[in-house]
Amino acid sequence: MREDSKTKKSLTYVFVSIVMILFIFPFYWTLVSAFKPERNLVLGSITLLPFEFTTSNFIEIFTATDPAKDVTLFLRNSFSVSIMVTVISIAVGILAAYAISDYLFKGRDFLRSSMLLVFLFPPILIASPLMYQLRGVFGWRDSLIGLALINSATVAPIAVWLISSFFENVPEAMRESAALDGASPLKILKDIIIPQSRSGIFAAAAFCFIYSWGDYLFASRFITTNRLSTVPVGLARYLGSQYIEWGGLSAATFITSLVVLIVFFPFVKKFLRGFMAAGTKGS
Amino acid sequence: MGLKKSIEELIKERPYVLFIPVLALVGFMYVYPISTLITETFSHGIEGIGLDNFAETFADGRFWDAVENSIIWTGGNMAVQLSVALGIAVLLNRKFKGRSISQTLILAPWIIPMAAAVVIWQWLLMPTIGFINQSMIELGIIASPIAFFSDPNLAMGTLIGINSWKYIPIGVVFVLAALRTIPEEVYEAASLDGAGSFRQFKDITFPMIGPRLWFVGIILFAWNFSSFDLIWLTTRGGPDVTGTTTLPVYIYRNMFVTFQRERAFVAGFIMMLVVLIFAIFYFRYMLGGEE
Repeated sequence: MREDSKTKKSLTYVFVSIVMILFIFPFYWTLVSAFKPERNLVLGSITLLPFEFTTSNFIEIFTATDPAKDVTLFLRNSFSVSIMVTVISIAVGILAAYAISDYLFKGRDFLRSSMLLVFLFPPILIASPLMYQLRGVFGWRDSLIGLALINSATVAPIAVWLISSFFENVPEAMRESAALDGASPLKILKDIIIPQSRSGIFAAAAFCFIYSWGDYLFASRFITTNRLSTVPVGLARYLGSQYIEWGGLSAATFITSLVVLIVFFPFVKKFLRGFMAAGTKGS
Repeated sequence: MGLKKSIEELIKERPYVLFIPVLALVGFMYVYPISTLITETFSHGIEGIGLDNFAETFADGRFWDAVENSIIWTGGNMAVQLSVALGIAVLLNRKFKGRSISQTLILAPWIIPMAAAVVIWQWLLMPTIGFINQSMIELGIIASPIAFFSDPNLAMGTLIGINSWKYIPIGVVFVLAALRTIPEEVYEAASLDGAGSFRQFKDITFPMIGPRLWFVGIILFAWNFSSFDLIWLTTRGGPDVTGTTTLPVYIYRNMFVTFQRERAFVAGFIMMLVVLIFAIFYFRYMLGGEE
């Protein structure tokens, strides 16, 4: 149709490559650095492939005896917290989302919008008084369950936001026929709405997981011992230490990132649909 | 069975009871901190409403540095992220091999923890042995290494760059989702009418995704305005003490490092006012279209 389409096409590839390199190369560099021996790194090796390939960085971080560098422990703690946050958020999220999708009541749209607003609220504004509340008033600190509860308060609202938009996609006819059969509200939720929205619920769960996985502010203030540190806190502390072993730190960072990438990538499209759908209803 | 029945009845009559669990969770974690923030802000001075904390904080030059930096930070990040995200989204919306995988892969920086992004970029930008300095020196672009984080002229730009690297991707996929709602035929018709790429963008793409762009802007504003991890973990608000100190960093430093809590509370109160104004716009946008 157009004579310039061939040059246009190759230009597209050039630009796409530049963009993808900008956003993906830093990951590649982290991975390559993780496979280079430390002595190469301190000399400033910038070869794009490790010419002395080693797995010692990975072995070292997983066999560390120094509790401040015990990546296995950090990963385990992060897993515990993120899984608790996900379970709590999805459970309370499903209930509230069901009210939004299946019932008309006063203030419904306001409540739904408030959920996203709570999620967007600056954490720094509650961090300090919240620590005082939990430590001073409840004598509570250094608890992974506590950290999970704190994070759930931020994450559960976004679960409501996401899940409600998936619930709304369940065909009206299915609800009506079940209601005609005399099914109760909770039975409709359990037998129709949830099974029909399974992939959406998984997408919301994946988002809850990665979001709490990334929390640094709350984790660093609420947890004071190495033994209970999550990965972001561990990485930050490592980064602040006198002598940084970049090979080991790169390995730890790559694994940390890989976990959330694996969890979230399968659900990207679904997550986006849910997130945007609820946000652009009025337009 | 009686209890279950009555719960079912309750849901039918008052469906908002389903909100109780999530509201209890949010209430427990937010109500006390926010009320503390407000009462502590006005805790010193004449009984009832004490404004001494304000006087003290407003006399602190670093507070005004933080306000100025917050404006630069939020404005700079928003400008970079929205414009670049829009450009990349239009690019990735073209037809090319690997389009689908690119649209997913590009999200990687946004998915990882900020602490991980900090490690990745600290390492890339290391003064002597970092990849970027080393390669530029070997290519003869620069003679001596650049101190990206500690040069007062560069620190803010460096951090805005890293933060944008992390948030442009979510902007891209949001805009892509918006672009997908424009039917292909509209462009075909415009092409037949002889409208070039730029005209098509200006007259079709931009107006049609406008409302959704607002949504992207709202989300990005909130994230940029409240961002803390990146700045704290790289420069601690420096160089020159306040070089990259935004309001969240100012609050954190006064609250947990120098223990000048009054200042932290006042700065927090000011942030809260911004959030309130933001909330008014937010609800206008969210609830406005449904009347």
